[in-house]
Amino acid sequence: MFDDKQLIQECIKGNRVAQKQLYSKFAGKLYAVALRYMKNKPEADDVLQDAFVKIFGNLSSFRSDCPFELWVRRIVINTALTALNRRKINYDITETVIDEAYFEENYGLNDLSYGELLAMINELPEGCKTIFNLYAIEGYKHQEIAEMLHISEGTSKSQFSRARVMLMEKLNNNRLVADRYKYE
Amino acid sequence: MNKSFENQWKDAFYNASEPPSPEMWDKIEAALDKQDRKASWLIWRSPKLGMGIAAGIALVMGSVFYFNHTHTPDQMHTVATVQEQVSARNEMLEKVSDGTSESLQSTAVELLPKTIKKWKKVDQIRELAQQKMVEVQQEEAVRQLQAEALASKSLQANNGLTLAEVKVESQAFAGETKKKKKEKWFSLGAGNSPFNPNFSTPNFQTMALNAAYESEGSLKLYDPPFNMPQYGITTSPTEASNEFKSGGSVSVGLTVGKKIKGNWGIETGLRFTKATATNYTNVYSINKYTGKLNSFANTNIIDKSSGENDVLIGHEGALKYEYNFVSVPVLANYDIALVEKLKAQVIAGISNEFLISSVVRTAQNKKESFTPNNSNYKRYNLAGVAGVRLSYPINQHLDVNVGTTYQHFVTSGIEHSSGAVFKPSMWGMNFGIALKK
Repeated sequence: MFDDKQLIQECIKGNRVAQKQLYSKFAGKLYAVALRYMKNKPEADDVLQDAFVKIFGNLSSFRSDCPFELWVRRIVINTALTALNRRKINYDITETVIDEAYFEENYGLNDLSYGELLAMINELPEGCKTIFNLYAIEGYKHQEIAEMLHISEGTSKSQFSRARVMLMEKLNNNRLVADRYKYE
Repeated sequence: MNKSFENQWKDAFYNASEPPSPEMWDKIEAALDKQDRKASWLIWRSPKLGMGIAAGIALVMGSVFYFNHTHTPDQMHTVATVQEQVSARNEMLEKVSDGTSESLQSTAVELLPKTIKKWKKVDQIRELAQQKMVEVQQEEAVRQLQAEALASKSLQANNGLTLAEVKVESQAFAGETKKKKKEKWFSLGAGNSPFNPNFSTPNFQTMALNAAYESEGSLKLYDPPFNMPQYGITTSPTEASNEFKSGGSVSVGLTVGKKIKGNWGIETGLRFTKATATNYTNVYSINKYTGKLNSFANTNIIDKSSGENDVLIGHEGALKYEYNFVSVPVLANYDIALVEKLKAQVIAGISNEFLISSVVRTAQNKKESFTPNNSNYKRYNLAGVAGVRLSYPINQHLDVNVGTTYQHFVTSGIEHSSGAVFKPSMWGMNFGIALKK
């Protein structure tokens, strides 16, 4: 087994054992990222495969001033966005979204499993889902998202608000159902 | 906007893990194997390409040595300074994200403008880009750099820092690096094309007939023992013909080029061309003293001192001409992006053509060599050049290109009182391999 620095060096040399070790270390997390962006598992598989080929191909350009996990995560996200761009998603939003911002300690996420939360995200329309992932989970600002997706900042904000409202509705409905079962 | 909602989703997903299918590694490994095979295939698929690359290795190695240079001490210091600042900024921001201290936040903000200012400097941008872009496609490197610049802050949501400046500057950086990409290149190329000598002799008819009639006052008759079966005597020597027909040409050369602004560039180099043409004529000269047989065009137009000759008009025969030129083209080029990495270059300019020699095989199958010293050929000529070539990168440093070029002499390659004109033209294919810096 190689240590991290050795591992990267060996991967650059094309050592398959080292490459498999690197893959095993990050595949789970990166696959979870791909699943959040793509419609289904086959598409997420393709993104993960392409991303790892790019990771191994560009490993020699990795500089240690950036955490490695962050670097590979970016590659997966960029690969997913490239795949989504081919679908020519229309991010424009015509409906008015009223997003009443309020603070709550518990939105009910803790009551749901990872799989249930993932299913909720995947029920979002594609444009909303992408922007929600980039803003809420990856932490990009709306201006950055606008430039990445070639949309306006306003569209990014509107899509995010829409996603937020839809997810809150789902969480509320889920809570109502859970409460009903509790009291019945 | 209520960040708590986002943070809860982030907490649920950011470190989530989902194992891919067991076959995933096999697929990735197969794709990597395919990539490795493709790289080998490209060189060995075409033996000609392989030989061409082998032939150019010495030149490429020399160019790599010439173009490569280590960082100057100033550049090293600058790169190290920028890297230190990026690391320091990242450390600072990790602390900021804990929300522990407003003073730390303001310190980080102070740090940020300095880094941005540093990133504005072209030398530093170029140096950092060179480090980051080795063996990486331009677009991927820019995205990674942007991601690295942004992610260290953007991951830590609500850190109170505006990333707009970073984003804008990283885009300027990307634009800057895009502009500075691959300024110079060095190429080895070869080409072949039909060669049209465009050799015309106005008043040839008159010249030839006059010369024939003046030969000892009448046309000479030659008996069969003279052994010129194809050069019989015509009974009606009223038509004198002399025509040069196209042959072919092969050229090899070296080119150096440089981007000057935007998509425009210039290039020059050295090229050697060997071309052939055939002279069909029925007018011959026979040396009065040596009996040497030659074409009338050779002795009376091309050769400076051919001696005293009798002129004979007979059946048409063919003489093969070979020309050797050295050229120094000076061309402008304009890049046009096509699809993916393929680009087209439109080229136009002039070529300084130097005639080294012209070799002709006489009717007696003897070689005769003409140079600018012993003939009316001009040593220097000017040609116009235009063409287009397609260029495709094999890797970050090497491009292969294939194209078509048209060249036409603007000045006549021969000077003679008869007004003979020699303005060769060539239109053919060329291909090459370029090393970029």
